[in-house]
Amino acid sequence: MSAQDILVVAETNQDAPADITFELLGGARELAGATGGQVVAVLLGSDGVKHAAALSAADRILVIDDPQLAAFSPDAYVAVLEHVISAEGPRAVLVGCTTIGYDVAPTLAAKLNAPVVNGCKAVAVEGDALKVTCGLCGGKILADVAVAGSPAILMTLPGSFRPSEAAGQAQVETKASPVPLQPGAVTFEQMIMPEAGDVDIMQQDVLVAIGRGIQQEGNIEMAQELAETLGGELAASRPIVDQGWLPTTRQVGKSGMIVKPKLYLALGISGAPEHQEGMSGSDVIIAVNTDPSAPIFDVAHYGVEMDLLDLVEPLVEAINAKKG
Amino acid sequence: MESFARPLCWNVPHWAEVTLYAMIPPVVILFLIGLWWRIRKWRLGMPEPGDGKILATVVTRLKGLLSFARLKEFVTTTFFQWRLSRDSFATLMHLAIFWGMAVLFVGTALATLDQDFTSLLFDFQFLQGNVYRLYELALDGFGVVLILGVTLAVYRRYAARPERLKAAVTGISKWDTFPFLAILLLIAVTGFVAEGLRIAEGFHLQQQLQASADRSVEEKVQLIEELGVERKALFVGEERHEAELRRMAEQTNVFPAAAWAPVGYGLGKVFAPLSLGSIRTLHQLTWWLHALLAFAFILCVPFTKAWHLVSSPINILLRPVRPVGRLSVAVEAGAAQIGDLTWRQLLQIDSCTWCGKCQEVCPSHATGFALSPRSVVQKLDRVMIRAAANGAGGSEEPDETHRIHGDVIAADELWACVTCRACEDVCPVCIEQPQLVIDMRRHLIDQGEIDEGLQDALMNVQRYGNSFGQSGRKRAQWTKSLETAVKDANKEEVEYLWFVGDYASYDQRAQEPTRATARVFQQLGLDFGILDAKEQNAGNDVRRVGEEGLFELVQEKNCKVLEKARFQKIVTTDPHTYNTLKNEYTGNGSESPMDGRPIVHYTELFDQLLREGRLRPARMLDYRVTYHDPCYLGRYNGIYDAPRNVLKALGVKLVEMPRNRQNSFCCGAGGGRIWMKDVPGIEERPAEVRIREALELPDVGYFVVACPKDLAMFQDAVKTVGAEDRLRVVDLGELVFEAIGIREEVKV
Amino acid sequence: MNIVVVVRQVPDLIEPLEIAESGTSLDFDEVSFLVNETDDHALEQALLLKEAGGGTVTVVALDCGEVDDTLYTAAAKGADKIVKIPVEDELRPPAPPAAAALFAEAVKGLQADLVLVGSSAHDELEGMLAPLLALKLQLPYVGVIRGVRAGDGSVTAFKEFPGAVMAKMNVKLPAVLGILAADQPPRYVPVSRIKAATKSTEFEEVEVAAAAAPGVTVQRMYHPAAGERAEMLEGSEEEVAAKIAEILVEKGILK
Repeated sequence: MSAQDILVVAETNQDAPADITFELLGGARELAGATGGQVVAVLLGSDGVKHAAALSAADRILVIDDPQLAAFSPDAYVAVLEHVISAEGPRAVLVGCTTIGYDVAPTLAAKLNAPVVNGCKAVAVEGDALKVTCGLCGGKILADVAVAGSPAILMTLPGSFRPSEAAGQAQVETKASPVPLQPGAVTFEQMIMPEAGDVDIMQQDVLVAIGRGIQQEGNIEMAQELAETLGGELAASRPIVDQGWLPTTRQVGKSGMIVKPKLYLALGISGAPEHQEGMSGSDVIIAVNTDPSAPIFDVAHYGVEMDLLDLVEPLVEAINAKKG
Repeated sequence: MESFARPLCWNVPHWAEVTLYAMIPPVVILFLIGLWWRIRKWRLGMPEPGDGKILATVVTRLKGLLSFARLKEFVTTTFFQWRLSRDSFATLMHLAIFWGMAVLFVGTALATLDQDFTSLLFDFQFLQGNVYRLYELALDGFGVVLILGVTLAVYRRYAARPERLKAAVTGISKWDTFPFLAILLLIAVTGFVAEGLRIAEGFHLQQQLQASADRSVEEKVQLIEELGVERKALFVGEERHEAELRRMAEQTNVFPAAAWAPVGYGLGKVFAPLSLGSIRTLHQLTWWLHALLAFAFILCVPFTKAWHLVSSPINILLRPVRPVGRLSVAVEAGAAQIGDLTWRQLLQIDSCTWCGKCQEVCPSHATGFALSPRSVVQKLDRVMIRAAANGAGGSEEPDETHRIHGDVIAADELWACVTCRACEDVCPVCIEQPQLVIDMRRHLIDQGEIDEGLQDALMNVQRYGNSFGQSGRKRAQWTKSLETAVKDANKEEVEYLWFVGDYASYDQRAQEPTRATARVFQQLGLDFGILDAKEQNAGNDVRRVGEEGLFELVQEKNCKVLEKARFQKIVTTDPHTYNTLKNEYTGNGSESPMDGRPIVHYTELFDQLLREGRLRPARMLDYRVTYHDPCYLGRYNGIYDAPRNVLKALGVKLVEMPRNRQNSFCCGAGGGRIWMKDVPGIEERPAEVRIREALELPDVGYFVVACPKDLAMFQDAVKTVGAEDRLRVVDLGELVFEAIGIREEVKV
Repeated sequence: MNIVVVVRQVPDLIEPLEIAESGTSLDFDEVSFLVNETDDHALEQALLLKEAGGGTVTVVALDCGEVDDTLYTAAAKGADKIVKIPVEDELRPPAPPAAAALFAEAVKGLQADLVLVGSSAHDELEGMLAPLLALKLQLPYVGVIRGVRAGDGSVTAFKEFPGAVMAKMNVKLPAVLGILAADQPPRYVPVSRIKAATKSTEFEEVEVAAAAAPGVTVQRMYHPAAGERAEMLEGSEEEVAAKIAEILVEKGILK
């Protein structure tokens, strides 16, 4: 417990720690290195203990276990976190820009009279203050912000820090809620799962998208294998869906889905503006096309001027080799 | 000198003649009821914008007929069914029925005049002697023509059964056609049979007269009377009757004109073996049948689709003087009820004969969209019939029966229209289907019932002045890679102001052709400039989608910019922009910066520069190409030759697609459809159908377009069809660019 | 049900964004504003609730960032009342805490059963308006909502969780909801109706005292390094494949 600690608000998602939590732990670890404090993960829930071990990249894991925390409740979360942060007195609190973080962080800051910044992408210690780089205006603008005073509440964008799942010797402390919790004005009723059907390409981290360069329906199998190797799914540009080779649920672009996967591998897609609209927000775009002037290369980060049919097989092998 | 006249009421007893005349008033009353039924339908409508009351409109339009062009159009369309000319079978059939009926009608009218006017009042018949012979010949001849026409019609409708005549939604009843055709046929047949029987009786009488050749004239007259030839027609003087009997007796010839009615004469020979009594009974029966059929025909006119023989001339007469590329606005919020359409539109709907020609040429219908222009018109007719029966429009609050949206005409149908005008152009009775669709779309827009893609486009036009949702500041980005800068017409005076349009400016596929055209202009030393960021979407398609308010907004903004710019002419590569600038930015009653300044399409400009010798191809292109007529250039503005002249001058071999010029098949982008989402279940889009049409042409490697939207649509379609290696979609500007020797070659 | 919708203007990202000479903020003289997307959804949700169960919709906005067109559009769509709050700088939207204080003062007097506000805005740096407004109003709050159904004295709100999972939440009224998306996309309102609304709509103005400054200092604002054209990977099929695999590992996609 020190004023140099970095506190991470951990989240679970579908019965596992959320990806962002590991990223926050990674960020917190870096920051703690600079402040000389510890990383403290706080996990709220009714069965938090079972996830605690996964968070051992932290130095301490604080599990607040209470039936009232079984489901997310903004009031309860704010109340518990306000108490925990006051008690811990950390230098900074890392909260994800998530459905929970959005509801909790600003209120928490106001209640604690603490500074809060939204859209944090990087953070460093600069003298007495923290220097936080924030993404604004849909990523078109960056702002370097000096955050003075503790605890600084940093609402962090997904993908900002390298995730840390390092298994350390974290100490797990499980407590009941430090504040009495009653059902408030906002109560959880039930979770509604998405209707089972075709995969939702908007939720995929890896998409292997095929266009006219695939040439024949029979070649789709090859792309499918690549997608599976990468742990992703197949997507397509309009002509492929028009041909009926893949269902409309796989169509990317203006008249299809807007996707933002971590990896968008565009195979044989020329990249008409309508297509670009649906995928340009992807984290990493790799395009393979025989035409070096194809507009897809304007949005891609990496490009390959090659017939996709020649590349897919060696690529599957190379990836398998990396996976060991 | 022989003196004989048309026999009056031959073999028709007095009571029959009296009965026939007595039937006229009820028939007239029924006809008037039918007429009122029709008029009541039109009365549901709004006044025609710009014209006001019905009477004022009629007067203006009648004055319009004083112009030769309008008169010619009226005569050719009305009397010669010129609008059917693209379909020779239909033309032949329709001309035969029309002229057959017309001549028989005139014949009947002349007979009535002869009997009930000149003969009655002046004891004189003009149908006599040679005049009567010619009359008989003409009526027999056109009777045959009529039978031929009806036979063709029956063949087409019940044997050939083209798609367009099947399963029609109709306002009245699909059985409407059959009795009508049957009546026409039977009128001709009973006419001939009655004539034949009369002539057969003549043969009998003649035989008797010849047998008593040695008797005196008086004895012969007595013989004729004994054979039962009486004075039948009322009011024919005893004197004339006796003179006629004397003539027969003297000449031993009962009907001297019989041989001039070849069909009747032949039938007379056929019936001659019958006994005189049977002939007379049969004659009276057929005479009655013929008369009743004639009445039935008269009543068919207001109550069946035969009505079009009254309404279509009225329609044609009332066609507005404005260019076809200018939409009218009766109700800005659009047509929600039948009564929100104008009375002239209702009159059009009322003229529809559900011939299905509109459906046959409709690109949306052909590719499986939920649209048939005929069904739209007929569904409106059904509403009109019910609404009119429920109470005339005017101040009365319209009830449920007046509704035209929802389950009457679904939004899908209205959004499927590409406003290509193929239907309007082919409609024999001059119905303006696109205007109807757009009036109804205006209501959908007013209610905010629109497709997401369309909503995005409209909001983009509203906010950014372009449908792409890009910054206005990027509008001239395509010029950046040109070696020579393009003038800013906001700042410098230019001869040609190039109104570039959204697609030519922003669409990545169109930018290269836009640059090619710019380089050609530059090479030719044309003094031109653009409006850069100040140009807004011209609004042609915004208006056709039904967003009238937004059209007015962009028009206002553009006019403000145009007012400040100094230029002499406007040029554009985009036919849609061309249409609205040319037809809608001017002539709307208010002053416009476009007034008095020509607006030309780049194909027209190239054509003109060729004629002036300013544009000289450096080399001939030896390609075999086909050319796609853009709807808004061709059918809307009649520009077919300019692009063809240019192609010819470039040396290419132009191979026409089967559907060319006014029969051109829309790419599917018009009327805002390019902004809307694809409709599920459409197997092949119009552009793909069109590409396949071009692929049928032998050895054609280039598909030449003269519209940036066409470029986008067809380049896409060529890919979908998988014919990129066989057919290259090129813009006319690119070919000109290549021919004047700036670039080596456009590679396939 | 009295529904109050809070709308704010944000810089239009379609138009180029310039940095002010100070280097610490956008050059607001050059900014083109438009309604914040989620606020537009909040308005749509309010209109849908009104259409389903009756009530009134009051739109509250700061007189800042060319807000009038947005308000006329709201009126044309069916908002019953428009309240405008004058601010000191009509070009520069206040930071979330200040905006929350301004809005709270104005909303207090409106007897709202339900306050809908966009869940987030892309220019929110110092916290977020929606939860801060709820706190100022001392009303319960839940955000990131896709769809609201009215109930008796409460509403059912659907809160989005990752993986297209929704949490069905019951919210007792009065309350503030942060709307991410309405049950239906915002409606299209034809220009003619906006024009008519421009003529007929009157704004109510509520004077509110300006609030405290944020506790965060922007030192520098800048554009991220410009995106280049794709880095082309050269070599044989095998070499390129190996390079791609390497990149995937480097980017943390292949683990």
